[in-house]
Amino acid sequence: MQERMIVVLSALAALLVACSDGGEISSGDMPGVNGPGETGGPAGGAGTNAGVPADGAPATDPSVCVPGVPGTTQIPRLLNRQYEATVRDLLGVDGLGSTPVAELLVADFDGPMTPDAWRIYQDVGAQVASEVMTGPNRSRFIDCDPAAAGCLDQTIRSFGRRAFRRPLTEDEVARFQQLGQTMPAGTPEEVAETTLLAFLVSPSFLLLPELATTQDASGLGIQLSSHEVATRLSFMLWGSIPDDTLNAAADADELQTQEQILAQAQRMIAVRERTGPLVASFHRDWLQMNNGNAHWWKIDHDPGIYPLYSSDAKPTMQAELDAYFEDVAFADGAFEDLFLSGVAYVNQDTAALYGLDPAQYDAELSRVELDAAQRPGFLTRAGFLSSYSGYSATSPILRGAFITVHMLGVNPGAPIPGAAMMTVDGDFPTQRAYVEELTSPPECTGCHSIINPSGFAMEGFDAVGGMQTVDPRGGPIDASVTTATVDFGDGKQLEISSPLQLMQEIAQTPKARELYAQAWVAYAFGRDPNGNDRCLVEQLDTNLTQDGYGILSLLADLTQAESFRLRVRQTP
Amino acid sequence: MARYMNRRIFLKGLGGAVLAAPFLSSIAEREARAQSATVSSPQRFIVMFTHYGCITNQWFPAKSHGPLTADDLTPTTLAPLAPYADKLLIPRGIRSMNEWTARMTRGQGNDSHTQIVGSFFTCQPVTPNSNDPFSFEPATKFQAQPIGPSLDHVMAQQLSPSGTPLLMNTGGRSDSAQSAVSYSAAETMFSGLNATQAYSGLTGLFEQDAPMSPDTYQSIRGQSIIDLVSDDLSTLERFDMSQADREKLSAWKELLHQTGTVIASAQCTEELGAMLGATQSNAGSAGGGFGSDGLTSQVTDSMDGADVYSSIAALAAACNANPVIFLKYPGNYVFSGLDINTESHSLSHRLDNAGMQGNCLPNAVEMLLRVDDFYTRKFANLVGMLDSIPEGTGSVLDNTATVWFNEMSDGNAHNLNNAPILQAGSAGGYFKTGQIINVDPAGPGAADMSNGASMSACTDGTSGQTINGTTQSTGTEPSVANAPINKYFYNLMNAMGVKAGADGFPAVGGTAEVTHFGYSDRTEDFIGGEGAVADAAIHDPGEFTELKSGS
Repeated sequence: MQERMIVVLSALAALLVACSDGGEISSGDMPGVNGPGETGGPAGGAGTNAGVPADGAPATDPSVCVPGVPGTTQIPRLLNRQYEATVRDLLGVDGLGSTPVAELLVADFDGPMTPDAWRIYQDVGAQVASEVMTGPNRSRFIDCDPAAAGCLDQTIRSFGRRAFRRPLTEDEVARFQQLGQTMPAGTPEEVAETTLLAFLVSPSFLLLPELATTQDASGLGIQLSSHEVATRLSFMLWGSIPDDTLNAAADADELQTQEQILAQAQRMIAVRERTGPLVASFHRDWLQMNNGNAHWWKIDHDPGIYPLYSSDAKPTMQAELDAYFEDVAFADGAFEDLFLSGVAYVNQDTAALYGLDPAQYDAELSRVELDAAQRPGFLTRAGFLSSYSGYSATSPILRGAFITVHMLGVNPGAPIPGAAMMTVDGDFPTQRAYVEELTSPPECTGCHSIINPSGFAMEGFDAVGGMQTVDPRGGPIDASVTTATVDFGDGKQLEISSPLQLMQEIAQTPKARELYAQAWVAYAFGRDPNGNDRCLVEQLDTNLTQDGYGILSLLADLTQAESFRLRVRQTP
Repeated sequence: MARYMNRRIFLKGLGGAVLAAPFLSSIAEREARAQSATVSSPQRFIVMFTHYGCITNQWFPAKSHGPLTADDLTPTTLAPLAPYADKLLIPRGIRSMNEWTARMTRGQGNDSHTQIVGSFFTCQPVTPNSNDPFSFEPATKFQAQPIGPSLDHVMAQQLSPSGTPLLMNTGGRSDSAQSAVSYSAAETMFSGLNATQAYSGLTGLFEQDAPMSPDTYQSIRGQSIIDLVSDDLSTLERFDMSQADREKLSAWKELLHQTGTVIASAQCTEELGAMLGATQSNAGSAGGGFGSDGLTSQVTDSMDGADVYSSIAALAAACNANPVIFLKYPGNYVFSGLDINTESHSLSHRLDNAGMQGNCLPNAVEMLLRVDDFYTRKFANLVGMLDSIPEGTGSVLDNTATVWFNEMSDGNAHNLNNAPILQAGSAGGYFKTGQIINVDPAGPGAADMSNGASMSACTDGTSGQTINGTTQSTGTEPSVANAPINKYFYNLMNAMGVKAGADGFPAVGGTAEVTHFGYSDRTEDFIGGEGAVADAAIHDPGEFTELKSGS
């Protein structure tokens, strides 16, 4: 032991680096860091652009509220998840073959249209058009006989209204009519399919143009048209196109005031089947699941030690978390409920991890209520617990780092890349004892006194999400944190005796709320919050402190920002 | 015999099976383009890019200069390539640009991966710059991007029918700025394709018959739609918008009018694809599922997911679909199919499965060698596929420079000198093969250059071990193996027929030989980022003549 200390210390002294917990903190371990679109997931998978500064957004200090509206692009392109939802809602097409539509497209990207992306938009559009024309959803595009007089014209106007999210101009109608006026002429069927394809590859469909030019009376920016507001509303809240009611409000120009917008937003949020998936998708983002450098779903576990675990259950665990967040939100849950609810969703593959009888469940997820004192919140669900563990043991460091960095917003300090690596020898009764010894050198404790405690508090959960009272190393589990304290920021340090207490404290931590509000703004607006957005973050953060302020209320309040109703042209 | 196919047939892709050439343009245009095209065996540049370096001592053959034989390869990681020894070239003594060090002595202070991958094929610094190597500011550490385009785009702009490279993200994983190597322009990351998307881009070249008659609606409707799209873009262009938005609209419009003739080879058939394993079905199985390791998962008896990507690359090469083909392997990858449960980045630091846990992985070097062996076998399979396709008097391989580049030399040290670079194929006789050629300016032609110190293990033992990334003790002594990679890129560009302007930098429409590329060819010039070092420039223009045949 003494020898190790000397070696490590001398190396560190040479480097003048204070903390050496080994390994590099990846962006998966850092707050507010997402790659462009999502990283690491299947190419083309659904996700957000959170983390990508919007074109032209001013590089203001994101931590200081600067009143105003940030400059944004006027021609954002549909994210792949939005394209997929749009095709589903417009035409009833969920996927082509067994592949979700989003996965067919080139992964989300920020730059100009590329040849391959354009080719694939055309390919996918052609397939969707063909499938719609020959399948059961045909009437969602055309509900008359294409050969009948006026049928195609009527279809161009009615379908075009929904596809472009605004009425077509007469010029545009004429442009589409020309598809049926060629020499040689197509059959009515061919012309109808071609018309659908043309809509699906039109820039006015693939982009979400914002072209209104009327300055708002506030002088803060240009007032979006009601159709543009409707588009922002539906893509923010549903990730898809407006419904008939919203379209009617837009056509009546009734989406100009904050009150009008709020009324629509509240109506829309209540439509659970449309808002629910977005709520789930946001929480994936918040928890870094779209960050390829994070640890979600990357580890399997030793079947000898953990016979209840199956890697095939990973999708179930992810689906559980999706369902959990949607459940909490739609039960009027507040921020703290995310950390405290006893709701779980299990199936035959995961029930046993929660101490339930798998024979009582089938392949479908079933909603169950666990003892919320034992299993409070999403951090005690199998998805987190097993992802943030080792192969054959828990990882108090990984769990602790996730909680410290992403939930509490405490930066434990910078480890050095490829830092000193050490082994500790000896028989340790528990993983905790091993980690304590491993991180005991003084140059480690700076970071690990912050990282480890919240991880230790979770030691009552084994590496796959089950409860444990005896460590696989043989010793009894000690999940109390009394020799050190959990740092909740702002000088607040507490002894922690249970996961429930830890979750209660996290839920009351101002920085945790602020990060949550910030993540919502990033997700909803598709950009890292800038100084202008900071004001909204602070407003939402304040709201979150109010009793009974539900997550869905926050969603509605996102639409009340000036930057939602107005736009400023980016420069240059 | 070559067949002439218009790119708009090429465009029909995935829909080809059910839809007849929706975007077929005029026959007249096709013929005009075809007549002006030169029919010869074109050269191709095929790259396999992997992360986190290698165990250099096992990877490099013992000698660093001289003839390369199967016997030289057999004791090394590269043993699976022994059958191709006479078609291989190992340029030794090269360094890539913009190394991260704890004291910022050889590059920017952004991040030990972000700046390396951003600069690797661009030879440009990344922005925003960080002068604090230990800063965790996301914008500089995780999101910084290079200020110029990467080699694949510079080449493709001059050589590819589409003007873009064929970039495939093997394993179906997409990249962040911490792992992406392909940039179409400054700070413009390029999205790669998965196997299905890449394969669908080739199916249009399989047509045996001449393009369909222009006398049908199906043949003209494509142009009608293109006209409609063009009108829509023109309408949008009439609105007041930022320059950035305007450029996006005009770039899209340009795509509509691009003809980019593909001259498909006669052997470009579905049957050739099937022989190689490049089929729609295999492509669909090559991605890997949720949280699973698709690269090593068997797709057929003889091919795993990674091989399927290689087969598509080989097919694309044989078809002349694109002369610039990149196979980008993912970072942060769990090779569970190799019985490795440690994510590849942590593993490169000899750490256990918990990225921040920091305890020694006792058999880390053995596992790293397993990864190196996997990559080598994938490269050997790719080379084998290319060599199995006859072309002219040799094989397609002979008309390629097929190069395996690695992000760094040793993964724990992050050192960029002594780069492990392996080339197969002579690009039509441009390069010497069957050689290891040491171009290190510190000792050109030396056969005893260092192979690094990667074997230093972090081992279980009675006392602590330090294998420290910041001291770079597992790397190669920085004073050796520093010939700038820029010069090798000049070789590759010249071999491919890329042209430069009068200043020697690659330029569309140029006529001169490429002698310059990037921001600088001296890694120290990258310290402080763009503009910080006053005389940052190309200091040593011109390619490595030692690598050229006949030299």
